[in-house]
Amino acid sequence: MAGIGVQLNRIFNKNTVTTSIYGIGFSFTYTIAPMLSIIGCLLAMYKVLGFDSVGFTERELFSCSVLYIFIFSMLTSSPFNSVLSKYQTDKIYEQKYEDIRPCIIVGTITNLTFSSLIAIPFCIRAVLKGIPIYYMFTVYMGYLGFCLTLSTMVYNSILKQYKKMCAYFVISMGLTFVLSLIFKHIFNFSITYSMLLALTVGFLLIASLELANVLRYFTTNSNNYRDILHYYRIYWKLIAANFLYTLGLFSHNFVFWMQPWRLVVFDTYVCNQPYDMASFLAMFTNISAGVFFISRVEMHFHEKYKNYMEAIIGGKLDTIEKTKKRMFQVLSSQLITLAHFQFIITVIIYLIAVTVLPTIGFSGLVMEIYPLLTVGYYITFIMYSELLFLYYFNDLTGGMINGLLFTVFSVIGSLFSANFNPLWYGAGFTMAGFISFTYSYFRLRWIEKNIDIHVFCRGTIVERVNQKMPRQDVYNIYDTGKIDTRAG
Amino acid sequence: MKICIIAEGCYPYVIGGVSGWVHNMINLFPDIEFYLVTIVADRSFRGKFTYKLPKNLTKVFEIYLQDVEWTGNSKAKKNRVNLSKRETLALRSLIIGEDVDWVTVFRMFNRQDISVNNLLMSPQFLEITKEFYNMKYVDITFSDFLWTLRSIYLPLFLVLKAVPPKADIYHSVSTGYAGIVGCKALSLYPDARLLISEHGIYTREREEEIIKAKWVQNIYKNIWIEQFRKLSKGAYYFADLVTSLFEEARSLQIDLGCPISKTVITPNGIDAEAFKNIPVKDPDDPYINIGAIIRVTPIKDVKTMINAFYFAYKKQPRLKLWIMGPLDENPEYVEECFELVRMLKADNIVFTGKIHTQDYIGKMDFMILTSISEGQPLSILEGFAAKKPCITTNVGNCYGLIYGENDNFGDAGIVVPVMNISEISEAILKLANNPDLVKKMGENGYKRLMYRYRNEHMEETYRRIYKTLAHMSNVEFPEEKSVS
Repeated sequence: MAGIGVQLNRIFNKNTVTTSIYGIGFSFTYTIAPMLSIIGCLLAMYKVLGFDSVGFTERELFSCSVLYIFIFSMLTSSPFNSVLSKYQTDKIYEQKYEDIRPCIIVGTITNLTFSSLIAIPFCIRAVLKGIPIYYMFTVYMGYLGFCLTLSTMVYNSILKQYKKMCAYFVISMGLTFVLSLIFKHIFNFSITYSMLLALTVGFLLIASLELANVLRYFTTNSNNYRDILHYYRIYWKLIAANFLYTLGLFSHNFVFWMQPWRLVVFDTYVCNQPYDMASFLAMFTNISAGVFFISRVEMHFHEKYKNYMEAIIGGKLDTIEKTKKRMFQVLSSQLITLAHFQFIITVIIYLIAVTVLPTIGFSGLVMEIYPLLTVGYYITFIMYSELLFLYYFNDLTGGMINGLLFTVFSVIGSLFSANFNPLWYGAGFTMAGFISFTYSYFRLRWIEKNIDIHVFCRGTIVERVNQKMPRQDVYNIYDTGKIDTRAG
Repeated sequence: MKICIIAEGCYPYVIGGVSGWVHNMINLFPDIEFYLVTIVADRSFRGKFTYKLPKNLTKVFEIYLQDVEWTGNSKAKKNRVNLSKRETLALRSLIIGEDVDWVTVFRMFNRQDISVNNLLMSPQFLEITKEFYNMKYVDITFSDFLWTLRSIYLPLFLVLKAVPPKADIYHSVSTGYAGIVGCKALSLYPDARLLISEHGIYTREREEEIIKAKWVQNIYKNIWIEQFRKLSKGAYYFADLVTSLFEEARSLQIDLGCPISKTVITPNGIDAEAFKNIPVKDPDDPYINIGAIIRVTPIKDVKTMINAFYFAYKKQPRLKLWIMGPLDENPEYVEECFELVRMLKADNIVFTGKIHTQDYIGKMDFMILTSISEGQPLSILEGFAAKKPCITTNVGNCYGLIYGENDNFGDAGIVVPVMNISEISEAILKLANNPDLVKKMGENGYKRLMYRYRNEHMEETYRRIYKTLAHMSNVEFPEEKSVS
């Protein structure tokens, strides 16, 4: 997302109150507008189509379907998307634009294959348990549509197509809303199916528009499909790091889905509504951390990082040392600033939430779980900023360990905290966030100490061949007496 | 008894003075078994020998200055290198160049788990590089400096990683990488002895090459030169004896750090008998033939020779220049020489390519050598064996060969300054117009050769040296004397 930072630089550099507000608005719009448009569309459909009037089972079936589409599409596409993003950035840097199309094709195939491998058995089970086949097919298509949406968002982000992406989301979600009305009132579909079908069409439309936009930029095809597979192999740690982080974000939910007081729909879908809702609210309370990271932290850091990299490429040792010092100073100060800002915002939103939400029907249990999860997401999002810094320094091992700690402690902690008072349900997740935050913090400190080794001692100067060295004697009268001219 | 000769970039791949000398040496001692360790640029040279190997040369081992790292069955697969404090200090001494702790360096490279790549990419190497950079090079781009330093040490580390075969005496034909391989052998087989025979002075030759080289940026030239100085100093330190061809070379060795007590002068020798009954000049041959037995390479400065000949030819049209020697070592330079000949329309210049010296040398009137650098050229001695005087540039021991060192035989040619076309041209005309002088000088040269530069002299000297070294390492020396 550094691209947004570059655009923001131009805005913030003017240094006036108006430009500052415009800058924050800019980053806010482009980072969470897509999400807001989906939520807005869902709320509009709920209201206009009369979702409240739908029976419990049908309503829960729809809610769980949408929840699963969101959670599992993020889980299955995030690992690949990180590598696809890196590949595309590298190829653009190398000006090998003809390699982007193969990347999109291979990326789409691997993404859809992996996603389908998880989704198809689940859908078959759901159909066997009595959910209509057309319904599950629509869920499946909606799931694939959202997976594609997420991956095509990556390609568009690299091309800095934020305005277009926002437009695609807003237009498609607007159309989704209209389609849901048509399906309900003209085709007489049920309320939930009208919403589901419209949403599926909406996701597929966003994916198609985003894909068409990217392909418009890259018209030639090198047919070099192996290269991206090679990237998957090289950057397996990046895949693992992203997957583990995303898994960690939802693994505590999975633990609560296994509790006796969970909700099971059609013997297929499992969820824990109070916990899931509290998680959603807590996540939303802290969502601005991402905006701050992009609009302030990354922007300032990126400049110092660039100076350091330029010094490495063509600078004296003295300049390298100075720029390194400045870069880490900015990293520390910006992390502290982020923590301060986000803390204030989280407190404000939390106070508003605990005042307003009970009045619009949020039950006591959700509100009991919500506070600690808010703390958990607060720490987690700060940790995520650290994780992004680790990626900056190409520390994929650190990123992977961070993700592993996050997931493992999230599961173990939640298994314990599920037995506590509801106020402490979020303790497991919060602890996991804190542990991985601490790990990433010390990892960054370690990088600060060892960054020279990280930068200058990577790679190889001699090609390494995993074979035994050929004999040094090319002529041996006792052996064959012949000259060995094989090149080895 | 086994003697392991260590050569760099010459025998048995390239025809030339040093290669010929090595070949001759092995043939001179048929009762001794020889191994050869030969250092070449890369694996493309593997086994491509130009010489027919003598029977007593039983094994040839190759070491490459550019190679891959073979990690199969190795403990060095991981990207880490563990160095003890002492090894780190030794590495520092090697790079920074203050009293190199060679013993630890050799021991470090004798470890099974040491990897050239890991060592060059290690944090220790980086830290030492930083220290070195801060000492003298603070104004240049650091990453360039680091990678240049790595590329400087890569060939040396590959050489240090190589394992020479076990022998009783190691005889390096130069200092530099060959000298270091000899030293490393001593670290593996402490009972063995090391003899170094320098033809040219390795450090000086590399220095001249690097100063002229276009592939090295000026700022890095000093580092390369220092690198070769270090290698030579190390080799001198570990060698039991260091030979040179003439007094001036010996003085240079001492200047470069060789202990005076180790130095010995061992002049070159050739088989004078082989030049008896060779074909002579046809009395009806109208030309005045000038012979140059040289490889056509820049160090022989063939272009100056052609130009000088051309000016002499303008005044004496009977002159004919025979450039006799391989044309395949530097095709680009050869083409430039051909182009020069075409441009000057110098019809009386013949490039014969590789020849059998005895078939041609008797037909010449006198010889010529315009090298920029030489040791004690065998081609001058071969001319003397055929009673041909030589016009030669004042390099190496040429002055001593032509005018004599502590003998009264008289001049055996004319010594001229390097790259001085007019003086070379005048010398050609002087000899071309004085056949009696040429004859007299030829006789003088022959007498000088017979007095000091015959194979028998060289064999006797080296037999004595080998014998002494064999006794020092408690090995029986084969007493039977036989000459090939």
